[in-house]
Amino acid sequence: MSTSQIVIEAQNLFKEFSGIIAVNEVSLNVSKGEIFSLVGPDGAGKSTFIRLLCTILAPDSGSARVLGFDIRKEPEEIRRLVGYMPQKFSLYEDLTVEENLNFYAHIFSIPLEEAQKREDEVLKFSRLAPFRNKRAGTLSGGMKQKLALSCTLMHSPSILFLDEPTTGVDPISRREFWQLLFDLKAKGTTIFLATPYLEEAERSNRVAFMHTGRIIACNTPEKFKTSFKEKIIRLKSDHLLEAKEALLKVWPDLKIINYGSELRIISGDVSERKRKISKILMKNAIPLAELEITDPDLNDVFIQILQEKNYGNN
Amino acid sequence: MEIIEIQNLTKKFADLTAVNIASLSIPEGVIFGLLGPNGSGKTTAIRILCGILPPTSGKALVMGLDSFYQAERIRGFVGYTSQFCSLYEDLTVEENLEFYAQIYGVESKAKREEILSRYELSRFRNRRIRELPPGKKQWVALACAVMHEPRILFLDEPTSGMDPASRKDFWEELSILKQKCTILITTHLLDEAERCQMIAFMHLGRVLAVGTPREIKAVPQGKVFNVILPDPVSFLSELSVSPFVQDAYLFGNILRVIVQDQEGAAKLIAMTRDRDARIQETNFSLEDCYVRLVHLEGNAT
Repeated sequence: MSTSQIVIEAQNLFKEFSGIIAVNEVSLNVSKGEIFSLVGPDGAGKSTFIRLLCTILAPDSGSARVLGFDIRKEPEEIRRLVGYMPQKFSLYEDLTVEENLNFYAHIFSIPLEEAQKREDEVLKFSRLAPFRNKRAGTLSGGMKQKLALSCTLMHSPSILFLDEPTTGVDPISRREFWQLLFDLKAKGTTIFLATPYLEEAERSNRVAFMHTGRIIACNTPEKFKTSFKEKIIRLKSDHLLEAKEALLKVWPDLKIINYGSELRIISGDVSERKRKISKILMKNAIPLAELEITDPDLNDVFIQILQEKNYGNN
Repeated sequence: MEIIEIQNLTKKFADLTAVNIASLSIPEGVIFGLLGPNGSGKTTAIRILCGILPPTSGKALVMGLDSFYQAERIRGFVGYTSQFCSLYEDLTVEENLEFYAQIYGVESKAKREEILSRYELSRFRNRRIRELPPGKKQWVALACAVMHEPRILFLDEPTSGMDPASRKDFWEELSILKQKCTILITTHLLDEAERCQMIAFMHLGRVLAVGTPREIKAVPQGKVFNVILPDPVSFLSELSVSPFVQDAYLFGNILRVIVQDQEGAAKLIAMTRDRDARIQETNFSLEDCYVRLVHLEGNAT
């Protein structure tokens, strides 16, 4: 990673809106060809941070370079070289797939002949070619997202900024969309995305957790998981809360999260603990459906970091 | 008799068959997750079960009663939150709660207050729904749907737009509600599906698979490996032309490879030699199972 080229370099970026701090002294670097995710709750400042880097908004203080250009002094250069797909991408629903692409070619002043060629490439890439004459409004959610991405790709950007690209998209379309992102990465495109879903962040090369305008942790998904000192015991039972109560009676300080129809027990010595849990439940005549040791997922990591840093979890 | 029973249920809109479920039963007291692409029939199925839509043919029984033709007798026992926000956007949080309290005949004001404070909505009580962030709206919708203590709760994509911390709180609340009620929930997130007791995958109106997450993951034949190596992209293109590889895709810094059998595994391990690779056998994820089912379905039709 040390020899790689830095394409996004932010230093102490700061932005407030009438007294409310949206981005609070954020510094980070992203290398060429990386897929980088910014994860955090609503209002954490993710979208604002992306807009600062795309030069849609100007910072109050701090600086950033995108592809070597200064976001304050050289916004035009940056805009030519980056693609931005906002959360609510404006597709013309009553225009066809092809007409939408033409429109974006026009916005980016791509000469007609080149635009034709580029359109074919982009449609082939996104596998939307069979739908080129369909109206955008009639496409499924997953296909609309692919079309939005295609529009963003018309001017062949070197960096793509994606704001919540697959929110509300089903798992199969999500995987197809990510296949496209990995294909772009293989060609050297850098991808910077914001998402509230850790499931999505996990597919990136690096993840930064953002909270109340700050980046509170940044690492690869694997290192985040190995840095989690404890393990998880998953417990499923039809009598979930009774099970929780029985365990807390024995270990009042045990970290237990009831999550839908399972308990997630966070603990160090898990194999010993697991054995004792079976015993306790048996003694209390609580039937057990599943009990297994598992690695933490990014949700567990994120929630623990929030608690450690005293942000609470509400 | 289970709390929900579906037999040969179809729903057609003009030429389109939105729902075509041969049979599905949901036992009382579970959290049941329904997964599928938009347009796969999840929302239509829920609307039939809620008594909002009549089926074209077949039966949907809720607590032993016909969900549409005996809807009057079921209504008081059912709570529903729609994917498209079932709230009045121009009314405040409190006014919405009052409205639903009237519909469901919940007279106690204390009950409303209790729910406002339990869902941390008290300080939003005078805010109009349209001014709330999407995550909060879902909490209001849940509050409106559970005030009358239903026995069955239908939640259509309730966590869409919610951040990780409030999703955790939401699922924590579901595990409490589940003590007194059966929950049918739709989601696009497979980590949420893992936390249901039972799940079903829907595709083109049909149910492709149903069972506990563990049962569903035990179905596919094959071996799954996580491979971490310096240049995953070029290795992936080699794998994609290797006949023993069933599926291979990038997941962050990890290359996931699915092979048929032990022989395929040996070939994969041989290919990773001299590549500075770390290779580890792992299990099928729900996503793997889902993708595979849909592909099988695609090949069959």
